[in-house]
Amino acid sequence: MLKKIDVLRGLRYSPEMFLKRMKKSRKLDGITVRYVNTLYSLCWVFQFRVALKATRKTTRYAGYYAGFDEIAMSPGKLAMLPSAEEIEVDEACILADKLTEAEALQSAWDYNVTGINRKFRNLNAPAVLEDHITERMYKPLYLFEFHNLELDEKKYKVLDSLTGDLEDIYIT
Amino acid sequence: MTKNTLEQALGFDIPITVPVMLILYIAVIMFVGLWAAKKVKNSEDWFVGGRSMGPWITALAHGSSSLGGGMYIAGPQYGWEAGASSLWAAPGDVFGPVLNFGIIARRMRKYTEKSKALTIPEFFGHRYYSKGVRYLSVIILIIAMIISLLVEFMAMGVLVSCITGLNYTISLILGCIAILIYTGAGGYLSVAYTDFVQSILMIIGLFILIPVCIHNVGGLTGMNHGLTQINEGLATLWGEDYYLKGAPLMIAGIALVYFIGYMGQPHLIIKTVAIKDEKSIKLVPMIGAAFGFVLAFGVYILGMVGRVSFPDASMLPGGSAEYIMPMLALINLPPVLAGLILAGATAAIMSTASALLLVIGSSVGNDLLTMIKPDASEAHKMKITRGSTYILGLVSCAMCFVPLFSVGVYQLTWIAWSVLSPAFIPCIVGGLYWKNGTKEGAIASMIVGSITGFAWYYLLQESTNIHTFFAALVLAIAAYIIVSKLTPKPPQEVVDMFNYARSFDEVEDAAVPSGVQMSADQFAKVTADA
Repeated sequence: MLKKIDVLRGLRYSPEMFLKRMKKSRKLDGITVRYVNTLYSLCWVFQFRVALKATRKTTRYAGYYAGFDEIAMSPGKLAMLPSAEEIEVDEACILADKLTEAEALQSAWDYNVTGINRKFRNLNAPAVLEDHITERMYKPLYLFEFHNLELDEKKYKVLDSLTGDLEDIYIT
Repeated sequence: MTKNTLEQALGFDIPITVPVMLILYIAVIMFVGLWAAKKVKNSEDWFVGGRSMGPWITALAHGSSSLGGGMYIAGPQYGWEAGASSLWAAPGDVFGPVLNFGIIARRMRKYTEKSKALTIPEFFGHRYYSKGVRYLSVIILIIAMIISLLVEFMAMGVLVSCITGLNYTISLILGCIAILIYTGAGGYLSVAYTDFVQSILMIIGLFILIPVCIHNVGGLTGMNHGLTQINEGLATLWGEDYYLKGAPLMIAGIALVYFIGYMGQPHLIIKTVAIKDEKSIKLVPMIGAAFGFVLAFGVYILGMVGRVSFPDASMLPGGSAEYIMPMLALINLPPVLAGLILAGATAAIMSTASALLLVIGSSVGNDLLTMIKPDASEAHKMKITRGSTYILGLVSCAMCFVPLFSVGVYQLTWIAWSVLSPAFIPCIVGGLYWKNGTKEGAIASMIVGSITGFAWYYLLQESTNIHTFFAALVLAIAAYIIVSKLTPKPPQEVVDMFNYARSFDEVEDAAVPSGVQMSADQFAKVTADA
């Protein structure tokens, strides 16, 4: 079954780059590497509207972007709103959500609020999250098959298109 | 006859380019700071939560907050006074971070993660199941930080007098005011990027200054020859008049101050807690060591070269060796470059001092206030924090004129480290590696370590020939072990936590693990093409 999702654009790592690098590797003699499929993992993207109490009477507002990556299971800061395009993908390729929106929001806010408070350290009171917009964007994970011809053994790993990390797959 | 001002000592007026460079430099730094504050709402860690930038920022933060801006003044001063024997202290700066991360990082990270402690005093409070230990550590921390702040203030005084040509007292007061204003300007100026740029610039500056100075005294051979002519011992590791010969405990102290002193510095250890993954733990010490290598060896060698150029204290302004680095820069480099180096050092000192001031302020506002008034409101805490930052800044400025602290910038650095590290090392290392360490042991070690660290320098160091740091460390360790043995063992809860931190298998504590997870059914579907 197909499903429409927003997929992040402009990511650094692609399957071609990885295959090219693997070709150069001498450690992989006797092992063939093959791109199999693309999986999609959820990245929460938040736009924060933050209230900054400059004095007891004046409040100013600032906008911040933040996110939560469900592969690394870690929150982060964003310089700008990432661009995404809507595409149709096989539902089987979409990894299940790990967190609820509230959990991801809490984690992303906790991670960012320290930095905001530190930056505006002359404030009258700590920064307050007034409002937020949530976007669900998916990042591609490229599934590769490593085939050891000698033992006729196959192993699968995924390449994170954002970080370039090669991750194992855990079957639950 | 001692020269009174820098211009008398140099024999020429300070070129106008030097203060102009300072103003330009500060303007650029402010511009970068403001630009970064507007543009950068993040560091480049997009999504990965600090993972991709982790090791570099951590290592440089570690390096710059451990050595601080004052090192550019204090290091050459010690090199001038001690000659080649100053090099005993250098390996510590190189291997200190390695040891710190190697011994403490992993266990500390696991313990603090599990116990939800965010700061080192909180760790003490938990590990030694006592609020008393926590508050005592905060008080010692504040005292040691104030001494470190004096170092930065004095170094600032030296630099301002070099740049403006004013006398030291006025320069010191002007410098302190500048630092307080800078601190007041708040976060806009002290963005991590400006610190990063400054560290890099200073290293480049030293890379230019050191070879030029060495070349001007006739290369390394010329430097050795010059040192030997002044005093035979200066070119050896035994120091002037071979005073270190037959004083192994003095050498041990000098070498250990930075070597294991790192492990007792809470603001450095907390950086190890903040690391996210194992890969970074391996990389950080390497970068830290490289940074320490360049800086530590560089500043001491600069001091040695200075000794050859200015063999006698009477050739220095006020007879003080603290002026060595600025003097060498002004004499050996074109005014623009000299101005840039002095401005870089000034900026580095300003950022270190303002960071220290803010840490002291927030220690008073958060930790001490909670101790006195547990139900203080957030607004009250902020008010106290801000007020104490400025009051303590002014008090520290006044303390610079107290004769007790006028022992020289470098010696004061030693005292600051000797007050803090020996008091905390047994509690931190013992807390992570010895499950029978008790709260009474920790209190004893903190009191003995910090008092010895302060008093030994003035009362006993010269007569016993035992270095303050060494004496304080040995006594603090002894106090920790003996008192812990004599008092009841820690409660089971703390022992459990200790055992967890000791276990090497990483227990996945998070409710939702990271990585790619899928059902067997889904896995079969996505690999169907294969």
